[in-house]
Amino acid sequence: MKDIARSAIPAAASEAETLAELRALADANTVRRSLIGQGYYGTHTPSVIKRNVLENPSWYTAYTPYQPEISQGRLEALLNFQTMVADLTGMGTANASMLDEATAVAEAMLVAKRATSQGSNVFLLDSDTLEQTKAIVRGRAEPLGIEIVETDFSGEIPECFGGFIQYPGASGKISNPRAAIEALHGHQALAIVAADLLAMTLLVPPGEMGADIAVGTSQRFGIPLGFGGPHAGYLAVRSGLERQMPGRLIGVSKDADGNPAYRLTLQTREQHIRRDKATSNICTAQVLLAVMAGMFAVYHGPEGLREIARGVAAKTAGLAAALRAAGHDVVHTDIFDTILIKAPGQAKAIVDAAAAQNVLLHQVDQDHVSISMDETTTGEHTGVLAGELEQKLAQVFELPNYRGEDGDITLGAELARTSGFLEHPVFHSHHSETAMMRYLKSLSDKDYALDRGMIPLGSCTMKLNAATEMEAVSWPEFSGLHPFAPVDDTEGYLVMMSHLEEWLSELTGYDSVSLQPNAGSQGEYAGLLAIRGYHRSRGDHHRDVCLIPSSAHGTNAASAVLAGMKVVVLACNERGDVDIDDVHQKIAEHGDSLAALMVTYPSTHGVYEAGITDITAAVHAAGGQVYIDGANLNALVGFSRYGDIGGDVSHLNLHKTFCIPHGGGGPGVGPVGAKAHLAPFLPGHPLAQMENHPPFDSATGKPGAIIHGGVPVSGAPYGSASILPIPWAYVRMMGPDGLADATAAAVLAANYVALRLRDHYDVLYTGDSGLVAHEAVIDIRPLTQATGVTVDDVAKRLVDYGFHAPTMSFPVAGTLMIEPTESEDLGELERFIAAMIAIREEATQVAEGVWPADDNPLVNAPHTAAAVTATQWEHPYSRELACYPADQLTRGDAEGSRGGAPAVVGKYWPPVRRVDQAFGDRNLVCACPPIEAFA
Amino acid sequence: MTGFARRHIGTDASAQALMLNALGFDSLPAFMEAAVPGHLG
Repeated sequence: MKDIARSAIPAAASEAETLAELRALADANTVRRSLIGQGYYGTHTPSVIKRNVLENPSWYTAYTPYQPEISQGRLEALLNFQTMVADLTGMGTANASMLDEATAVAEAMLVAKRATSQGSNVFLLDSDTLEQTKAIVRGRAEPLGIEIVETDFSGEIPECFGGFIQYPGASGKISNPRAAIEALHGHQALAIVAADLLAMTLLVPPGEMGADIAVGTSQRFGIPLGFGGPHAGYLAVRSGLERQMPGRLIGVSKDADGNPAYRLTLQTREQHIRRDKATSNICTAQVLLAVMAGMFAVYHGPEGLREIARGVAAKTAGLAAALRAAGHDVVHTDIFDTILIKAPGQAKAIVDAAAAQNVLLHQVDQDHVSISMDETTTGEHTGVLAGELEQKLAQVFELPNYRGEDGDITLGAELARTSGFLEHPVFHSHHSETAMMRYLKSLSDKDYALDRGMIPLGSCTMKLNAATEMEAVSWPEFSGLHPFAPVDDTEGYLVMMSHLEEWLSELTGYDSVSLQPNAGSQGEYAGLLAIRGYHRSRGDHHRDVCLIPSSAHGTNAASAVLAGMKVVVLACNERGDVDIDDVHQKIAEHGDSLAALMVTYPSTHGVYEAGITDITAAVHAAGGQVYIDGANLNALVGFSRYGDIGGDVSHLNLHKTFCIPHGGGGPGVGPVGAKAHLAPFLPGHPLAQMENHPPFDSATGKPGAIIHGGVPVSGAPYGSASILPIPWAYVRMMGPDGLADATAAAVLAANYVALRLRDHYDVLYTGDSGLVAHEAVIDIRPLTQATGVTVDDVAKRLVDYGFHAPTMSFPVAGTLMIEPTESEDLGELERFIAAMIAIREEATQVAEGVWPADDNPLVNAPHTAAAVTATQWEHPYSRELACYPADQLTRGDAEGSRGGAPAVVGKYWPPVRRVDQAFGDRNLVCACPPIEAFA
Repeated sequence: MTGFARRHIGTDASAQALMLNALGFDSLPAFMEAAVPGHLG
């Protein structure tokens, strides 16, 4: 093994030791009662959802539902989420979640820019917008030349392409957004409204006022505060804008038997197709959290949600009345959950007095304090005997008679909601815990996750998400902190993040790391912004060309455009490597305009490209910066470092290399690491507890010397902080040697699979050594030419054999990319290899005419239980071969390499047959279909 | 491999030996030396 510096990473700890250390870190956090609000509210996660979704590997180890036949459970759960959002906001169509509210607003702004044809570059921002949203929107607007103008929409508004309204406002005030929406429409501009989902159970929703886009967060629907995340944001549009939406969208289609089936719809909108024409770079959603929020609505139903909302509003009204009666200056009358108090010069003293009582309020400025109520502040104490919180508030504000009484809800004239919502039976059928538990089980039973078997998805790294790594995520000391809690309350988190920043810097060869980005795409964007900021700081405003190889993930190009760069595509040779001659030529062509090269290493083809250091040297010689996409870092950890091969900045995917589970398509964390000269341009945050990185430097014991001064890329200062115990525990338990062992085991497994399949399939790309890196691309096109069997047929037939398909048609159409990861044992690898070889033999039988091209086990795959038990069976192959092919296969080889182990341990039955992709795109239905559809 | 790494990594020493043998290498370091281009690290 290569000897790399490892000083920062301690030797491996045991699982028990790691849990004890996590307990110590948790104990260093202080969870006080948060009434801070500002987009993050206390909520009760129903235990049935916590145990059966958040803590259940059937949900958290699942992959993004690109293979719809084996993902019907979470697709239905996401459709519930979409239906819930569309109903509550009154909009036509909601997507399957956004990374957070603040970035959802920025994405909506870009939709408006694209969807309007008038030439204005002005976007109006409600002056009563959450502070983190303002910072994100301004940051996203600047590289694109969009001018942000703040307004309260009270007078004439200027020419603009869109405007944003916070409803209710950050100050708690409820203004009727109707006039602002109409004024925007008067300019042919799009109206975007951030609507609080809980408040929408009581208020007229934006969709009923003509809003074009609604955005927000579903956090208060049972998702813990988690020091800022992960939470599911949302974005919903009126009819006519569906095809402009960023993110993922679940729709309804039908399967080969004509039965309804769910699927991801309108995939062509995604940035991997649009590349530099994309107006969004997001690829992930927050699926696990969207599932939980949707289930919160399923469990409570519309009446339950209304009840919670009324409780919050009544409690808020009662406190506001008590404050007024005691002579406090309560600024707004029409409010839902937030009270703004004017106390000239006294704000800090009030917040401190409350903190002394372990209650956290929000200091708006020197003269204003705000208090936000939530689901957890309603309850039985009301009106009879004051609870602890009420006593404390009474003390802080000197309200001798306050007992937590409810008050008269005043939401504003003409704003009481009269329309129904959540009328679909799914929101009325699972209100008992038994029914809910069974509903969740019935859905997860339909899905294939890592708890069933191997998911050999190339470029996705579906490795183990160990139970010990997951353990601390739901501890209240990690899940209960508000993202804007005082710094002293967050010491455990800050120490944990300091470790992670130092460890990740060590493993990548960089000088500083930001953990803020909520996904790899956001890390890319942050890293490119750092390059842009660096060039501009030196007066090099003209450097705006970003070289990106044709083999790159489409997100790279989309991120570069969003960071204000021009994309120039580099050619690749027949081996999939970047063409070095073309690099030199493009550098010569663009000379002084060169800003950056963006390259993935090991390549998206799964190869360690021998020319990488020549390429990075050439870029540096021309004054450019090198962005190395760290998506494939898992093939490098312990053996080489980006900083040592010429990288200036990289993002990593903690949900790949460092064991954060995929959650069915989110959450993710995409930290960005950089050399010292770029570090000052990494994302900062106006509300960060500490601006130093690392927060505590282990070498000096003091706050780190590096300040991240770039614009924020996430709503919360430390992004999805509550899932950081996962990578922390992984690195802690593996130690430097274990991390290197994992890399070697992953590369070995990929090469072993490639070797065993080489006689049956074409392995496309290898390095100079004839070896692949951590994944292997096999070419199905020759097979298709010879037999008519397509890459789809192979992928779907694998389901019958009990496997999740490898990655299809990336990086090259008509191929499968296989990444076994280090976590699969040899028995599972052999089972997969045997299945792939058997499928190859089945294809040969099709070619030889044993089975007709349009009726064979491949083209008909996957086979459902209903299909193989139907009275009529008219296919030219047996029912057994259809559904137990692996058993057929091993019968003649009982003493084979697997030592006679049974091929199918637990049969996985797909719930639907092959899903008709085109039908779903033509007939767009993105909400729960009526029950009759399943009759 | 010891401790948690043994739980995280699916292939044990004997499985890895079998796989390395099939690939024509006699040790994991030798294999990685060949797989990861020499100019790195």
